[in-house]
Amino acid sequence: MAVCIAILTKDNCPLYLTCENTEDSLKMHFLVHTSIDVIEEKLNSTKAANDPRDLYLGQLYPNEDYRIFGYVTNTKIKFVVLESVNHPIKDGDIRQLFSRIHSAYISLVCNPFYMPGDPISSVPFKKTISGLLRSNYMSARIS
Amino acid sequence: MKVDVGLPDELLSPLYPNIGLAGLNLKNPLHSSIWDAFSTNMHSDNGPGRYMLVKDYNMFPKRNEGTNKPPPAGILQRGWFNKHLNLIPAAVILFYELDWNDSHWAEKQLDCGLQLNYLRSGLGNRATKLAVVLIQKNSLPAGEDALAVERATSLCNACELMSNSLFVLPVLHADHLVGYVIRLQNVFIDQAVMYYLNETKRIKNNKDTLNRPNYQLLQARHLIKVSFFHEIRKDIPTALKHYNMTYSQLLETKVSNKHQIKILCGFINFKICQLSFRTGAPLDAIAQFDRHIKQFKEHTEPPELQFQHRQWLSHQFQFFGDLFNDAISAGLTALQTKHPGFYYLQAAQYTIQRRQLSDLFKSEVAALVAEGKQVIQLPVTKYFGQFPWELEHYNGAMTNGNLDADDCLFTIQQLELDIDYSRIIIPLLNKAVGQFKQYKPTRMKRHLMLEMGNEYYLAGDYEKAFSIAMCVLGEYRRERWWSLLTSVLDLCLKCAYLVGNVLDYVAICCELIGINMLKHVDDKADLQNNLLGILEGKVPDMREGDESTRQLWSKTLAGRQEYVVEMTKLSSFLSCSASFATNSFQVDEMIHFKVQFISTAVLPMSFSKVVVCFDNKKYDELAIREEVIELSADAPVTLSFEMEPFSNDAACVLKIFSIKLYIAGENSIVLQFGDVFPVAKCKIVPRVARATTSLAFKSPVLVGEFQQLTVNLSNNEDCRISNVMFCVQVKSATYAAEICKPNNNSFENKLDFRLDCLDPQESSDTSFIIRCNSEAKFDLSYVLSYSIALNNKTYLCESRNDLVLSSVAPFHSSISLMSSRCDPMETLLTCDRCLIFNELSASHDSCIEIKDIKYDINPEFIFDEAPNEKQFSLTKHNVLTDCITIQPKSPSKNTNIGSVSVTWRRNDSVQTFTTTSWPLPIVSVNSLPVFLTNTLPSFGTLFDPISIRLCVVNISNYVQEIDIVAEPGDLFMFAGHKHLRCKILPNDKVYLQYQLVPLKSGLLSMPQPVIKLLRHPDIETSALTNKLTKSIYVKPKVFVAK
Repeated sequence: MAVCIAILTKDNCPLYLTCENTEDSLKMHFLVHTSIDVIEEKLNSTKAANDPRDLYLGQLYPNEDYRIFGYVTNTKIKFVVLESVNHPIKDGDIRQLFSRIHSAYISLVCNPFYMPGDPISSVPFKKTISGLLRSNYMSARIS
Repeated sequence: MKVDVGLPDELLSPLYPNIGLAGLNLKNPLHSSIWDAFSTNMHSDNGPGRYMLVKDYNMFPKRNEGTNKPPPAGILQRGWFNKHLNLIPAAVILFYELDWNDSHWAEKQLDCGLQLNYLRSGLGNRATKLAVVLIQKNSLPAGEDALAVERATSLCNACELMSNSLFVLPVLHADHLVGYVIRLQNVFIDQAVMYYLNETKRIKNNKDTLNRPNYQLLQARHLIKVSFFHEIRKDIPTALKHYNMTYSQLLETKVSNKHQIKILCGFINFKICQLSFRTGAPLDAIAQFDRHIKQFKEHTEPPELQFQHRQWLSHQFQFFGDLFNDAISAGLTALQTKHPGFYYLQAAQYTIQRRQLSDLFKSEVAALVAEGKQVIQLPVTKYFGQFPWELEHYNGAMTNGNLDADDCLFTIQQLELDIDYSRIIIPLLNKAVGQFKQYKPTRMKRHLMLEMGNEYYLAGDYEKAFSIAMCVLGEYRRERWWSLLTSVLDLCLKCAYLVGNVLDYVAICCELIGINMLKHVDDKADLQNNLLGILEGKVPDMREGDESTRQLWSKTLAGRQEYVVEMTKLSSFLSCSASFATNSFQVDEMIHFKVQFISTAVLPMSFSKVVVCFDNKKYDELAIREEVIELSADAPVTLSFEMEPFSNDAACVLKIFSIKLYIAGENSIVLQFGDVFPVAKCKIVPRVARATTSLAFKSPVLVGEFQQLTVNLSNNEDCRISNVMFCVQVKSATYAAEICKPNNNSFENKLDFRLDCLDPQESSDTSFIIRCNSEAKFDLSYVLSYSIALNNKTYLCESRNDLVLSSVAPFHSSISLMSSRCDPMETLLTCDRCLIFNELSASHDSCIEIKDIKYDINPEFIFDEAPNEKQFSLTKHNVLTDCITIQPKSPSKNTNIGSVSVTWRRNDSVQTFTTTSWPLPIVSVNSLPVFLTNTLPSFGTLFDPISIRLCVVNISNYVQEIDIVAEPGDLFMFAGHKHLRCKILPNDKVYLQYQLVPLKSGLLSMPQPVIKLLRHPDIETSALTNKLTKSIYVKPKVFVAK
């Protein structure tokens, strides 16, 4: 599954960012950051053309090592997922992954002690998200 | 060894048919001009061609015989492209100076044939087309020239030449030369194209005989050649088809050296992409490129040469980027997510990987060099994609003998180490930035700029790296991408250190040691120590830099330096906020405010001085705290300040402009917070006056009245006040009211009263007069200002009051006109008296004393003025009614009756009386020739007769004839004239006597006579009879029982 998952606020600053591979994390951070350009472009241009209820933005832009996918909630919270080119996964799986992140985010926001926009420190949320990273997902499946 | 990672130049340049021109001597000016016309004029109708001058008939490469020999292990020879593009002509044209009527025709014909034969033998067995052009100085014959036909046939026979390969080039007129040349070019290019088509057919025939599976290499070679020839002859779709076939064939080819396949696939891929773009199928090109890269990305080379694979990948991306870019210049539209910038970026990234790989063997190679290992001379391989040590295997005749693979690898690695990668990477990144700029993804552009900064850093251009990194810093900071900001700051820090920029180094340190930065605690502590070291003049302890950097620093840090760091822009370790105790301070109070500092640095820090600066520079001196302030992580320090405002700054706004924190040492660092957020400001207000004013007046203000208002000023201060000034002002848009001082008749809207001084508890009265002109609402504002000396300072105090006043009319008057019978009337009659009722009523609470009511009546009316003065008093709910009688003298229309004036005053006032006057209504006066009155008793009794007398008076100067009809109605029975017609002399009267018996009791309407004046038929009965009594009260009859 994913090698990097990022949650961004509507002002594009990172709320939560986790990567599987810490050596490459800076590169992934840069990839997530640059993909904001494409997300903004998509949000600005295709609003009328696409179904506004479809929050999934599809593949954002090509990279030699990673495939980058985007998802935007109705409150303009952005989810970006990086997935390795060497382990291709189906579009449906990506959608499912995003909806899991979304429901994790929703249960985070339901917490009355969490102010939307604050950096995320919720343990269950972090646990859910890191469970979606590839290595953890695989090991969970095997066990 | 020539590195096979790039593309041969022949592939990059456009492909043209190659045509040789023989028999031209460039020293001969005529020949020279013909050559120029050919070589410069390359665009004929059939596409451009490449023209070569054939000087030596043996210059053409010879063909190897026997294509069906055992296959070589190489696919394509290095020189093949060049050979067919530039060396072997598709057609050779022999130029020969010969006129049809040449005197030495026979000899020259022989010589021409000889030269042609030399050419044929020079070309060997190649199928090159041959043609002869005769340069003729004579003009062309006008019609059929028998001699020419005959001689041409003989020449063709002598030269074994087809008749359609013989041409004539007349050179009599130099102007026509170019036109002739273009026509010749068209023919030659046609012939060249034919040649290439034949070549493809020939190679295909050859290929079809290769059916053994180990002939795959040869098949691939043939396919390459076929597609290449198709492209030269400009058959692009066929060429593209064949290139695609070649690519598939190459992938299927089984060969021990995969490297060859990779290199050749690179070439073919380039061609496919180039032609796809050119034929307007960019998606095909992109798909092909993706397939190509996917195919070869994981390719393994000898592990020592992994870097070469990265270099090859980088080249592939760069070439594709160039092709893409060319297509865009030719009109293709790219997308934000699909444009050449990505390919340039990837090319740069592969070069970066190449550098990383080369770093791995750096030390190893250095060790070998130290051992004295020599670099060998690498030969150029015969085939594309061969390794130098494979030479022997392929071609036993090599002179170099057996090359050791290890030696070759060492040499290649050694050569690789000399490469300056930044020179490759920076232009690639530059190109990428240029592309990204066009498609406006700002963050990607920023990322690329940062990559460039990194590259400049690695190349040693720290200044440039620093300036680029500083450019992108702000945006990362604004978007709060701390991880990225940390990496940028790290780069900036290193650059700032290496260029000896102390101020920026300090600023970056301040930012890096903050809590947001994702650095290890120990690193932060080291940085903070470096920062504190600068105060003592110590050079920071950094991994980068050499001795010269340290010397530069120690020189810079020597001497007492002050470094001012603007903290507001940074997301630094220190945050600062300031607030005033309240929003406003009185000028005689102390101003209190607090400044709070929160540090997130790892180690505690001590500051020597805090200076708070204000927008008003006078206060800067007042808020300085010189004491040692210890700030440790997450222990906020709050400093309270107190200062006295300047007495003349009343009504000013005081704003904290900046806060400066000093860290003192040998050098000092000033951390300056400008525009402290949220902006702290307070207002300095004047001292509140304790002296009071009270205004006494009678409400409401009456219009027209002169009312005296009294102001009582009393000093409630503890000491004497001076320069006391009282100012009163009427604020009304319509000038409804005016004021004046007593004993002064000049009314104004503003008055000043000056008093010298007032002792404590002393009070003083001032009065002024107000007069209103109309009913309105207006503001009366009065300001008391004075100065008071307190604590050796003089303060100006002010108390300001506003009063809303409304003026009302003293009384309302309603005037009504009544007839003598108290019936309301609108028009008057000349013969009749009229009553005017004047009702005065007051709607306010004050009591008004009315001294006199006077009428000024128009002389057109008869009016007897009562001479007595009337004294009344009018209060609310009371009505005063005055009544006068007037009689009009003559008929008129819209006559002004006159006016009424009332002299009055407030009954408790000491002021003089005021006269208010207003006009009486305007009426019309009519005249009638006759006048009717009736006399009847005040009441009647049921069934008892009532005697009524009707009197008709002629008031005109003529005899009037009248016609009277009496209508008794249901209520009465009557006796008298029912119908009378009579004449009345002027000023005479007629009496008509009636006896009426009422038949009902109650208030009964009287029967009305119908009167007609025969002289004046236009006068209606109602106008004549309205003076008559209309009703009578009839009592019921009382029957007394006997």
